[in-house]
Amino acid sequence: MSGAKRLVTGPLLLLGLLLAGLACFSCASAPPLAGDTRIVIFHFNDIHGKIDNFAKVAAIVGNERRGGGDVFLFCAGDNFTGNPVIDQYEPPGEPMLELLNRLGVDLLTPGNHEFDIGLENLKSFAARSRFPFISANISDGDASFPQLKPYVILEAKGGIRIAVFGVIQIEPGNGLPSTHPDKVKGLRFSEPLQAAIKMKKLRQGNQVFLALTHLGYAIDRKLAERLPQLDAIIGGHSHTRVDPAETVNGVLVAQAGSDNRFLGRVDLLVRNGRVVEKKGMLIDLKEWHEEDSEVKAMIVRFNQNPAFARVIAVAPFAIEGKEALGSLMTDSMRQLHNLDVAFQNEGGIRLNRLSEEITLKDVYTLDPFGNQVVEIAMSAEDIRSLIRDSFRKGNEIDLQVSGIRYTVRTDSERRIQSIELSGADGRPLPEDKVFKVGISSYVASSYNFSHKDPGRALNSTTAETLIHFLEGGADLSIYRNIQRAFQDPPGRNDRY
Amino acid sequence: MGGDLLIIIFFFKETIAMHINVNDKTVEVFSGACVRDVLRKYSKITWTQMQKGSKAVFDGRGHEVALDGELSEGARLLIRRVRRQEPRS
Repeated sequence: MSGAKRLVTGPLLLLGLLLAGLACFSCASAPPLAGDTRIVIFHFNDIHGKIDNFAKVAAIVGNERRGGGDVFLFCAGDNFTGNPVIDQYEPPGEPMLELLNRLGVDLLTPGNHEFDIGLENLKSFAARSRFPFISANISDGDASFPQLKPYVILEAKGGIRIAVFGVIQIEPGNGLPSTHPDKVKGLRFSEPLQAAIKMKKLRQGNQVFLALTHLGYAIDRKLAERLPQLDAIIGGHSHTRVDPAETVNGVLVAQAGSDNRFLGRVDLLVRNGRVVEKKGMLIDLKEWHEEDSEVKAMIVRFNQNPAFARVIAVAPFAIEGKEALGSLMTDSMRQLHNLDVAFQNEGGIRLNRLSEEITLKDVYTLDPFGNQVVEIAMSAEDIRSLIRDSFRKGNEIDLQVSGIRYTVRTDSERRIQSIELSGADGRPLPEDKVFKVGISSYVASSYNFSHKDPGRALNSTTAETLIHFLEGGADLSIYRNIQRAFQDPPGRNDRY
Repeated sequence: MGGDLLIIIFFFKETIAMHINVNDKTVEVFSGACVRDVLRKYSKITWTQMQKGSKAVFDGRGHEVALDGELSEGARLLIRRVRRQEPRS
């Protein structure tokens, strides 16, 4: 008898737990009805070349798709810029193209960093992608951008129509996305919120209405306030980890952090022609262990980028020392960005020697930080204040320079007495002129110096600038026994 | 000289500062700065703590943002102590 009781107790306990679980589930979710459609949208944004977790993404999305449901994968932009191994692949964008195609991405809205690979390369990328590019505030004038549409209508089971439009951020100053203006020549961009509101018509006749954006979380919330007809906004750009997704004015707003650390998941329940339940959460990929072996093999292959060993310039001799390397780096900044003066802090020069055959890898070893070039309008006195602050950090010359020469005169205690500036011709720098000065984003944000102009990032890293300079056939014969910044009396670092 | 002046005027027209609110302080940074640039300018001590992972940065709604997160004018950032020790990228 007692044995029989035990036999019965086990299943009853299990049944009880199951019922309790179902009751608990029903608290959060509407009970399923015949004719319901459940839609799962996985999403990622701001990968920035960090491809390693794509094998996990493939496993997660693949598992869900094999379940036979309506499963989509959206990309909210910025796949490039942030991992030189991937960014420098040849042809540009190839690893990302192959991976996104293999993952079965359904839609992509371009972010500002999509354009970093160059418009022609991006067009080639789009032409070979198996998914459309959507953006309602980009127009291509001559209609030469493949795959670009303001919106698409996806279909789920039961004839459910999912309307999705895209939008990209633009800068208030120039009305362009945050990339180098040359990279978007020929394209026109309109104000994103206005363009989004014009998409309101998509609500009609579509059971699900979504925005796939690259605006940043704060602006996504504004969009939700102004376009409550939306069911959900899936966004990117601000690298915000929104977990769980928030509901703003009745609109679900989601974003999945950055760098492929999280995969976003939005669940929608459609009943009687409208979304009756929606929720969003993030899957922490660090906690996920299953990987798609085929995608994993692709990642291993891409990470062994052969282009990284490519020789991009040959110097007549090895370029050695902070003065020579700093001069080379600042010359590249000044010449490529059409500046009057450029500075490079010594802490940002991470090699002491570049051998005659300079490879891509050498450049990223020399300058690994991904700092942007920042342009600031500065007077001669502003330049002195920058040099003064840099010198005080170690009572030594810290900033290598292009476009001018300078001498820091100190007393015996190494206290600065004066800073003399001269042009390349040796004549004193005019005090009344305003100079276009290039510095790294690190110097711009870490050094204390006077400048009325706040400055602007030029959407090009210092390393990329040097690569273009070297590939452009720069005269490297001048970088021997070169010195442009002096200390009087000489300091420990003075060599010439 | 007239040409120089025109160039300078055009240049200044293009440059707009960003003002980012970090905790109770407004930080003015160059246009196009990311979270990392703002925090370096905000406080060297805080920046060091962020690099060590003892502090993290959140937006005005309490969502964590990455150090390379892009910003727009008037954004709000909050710095909080966190338990994890791994550095944030």
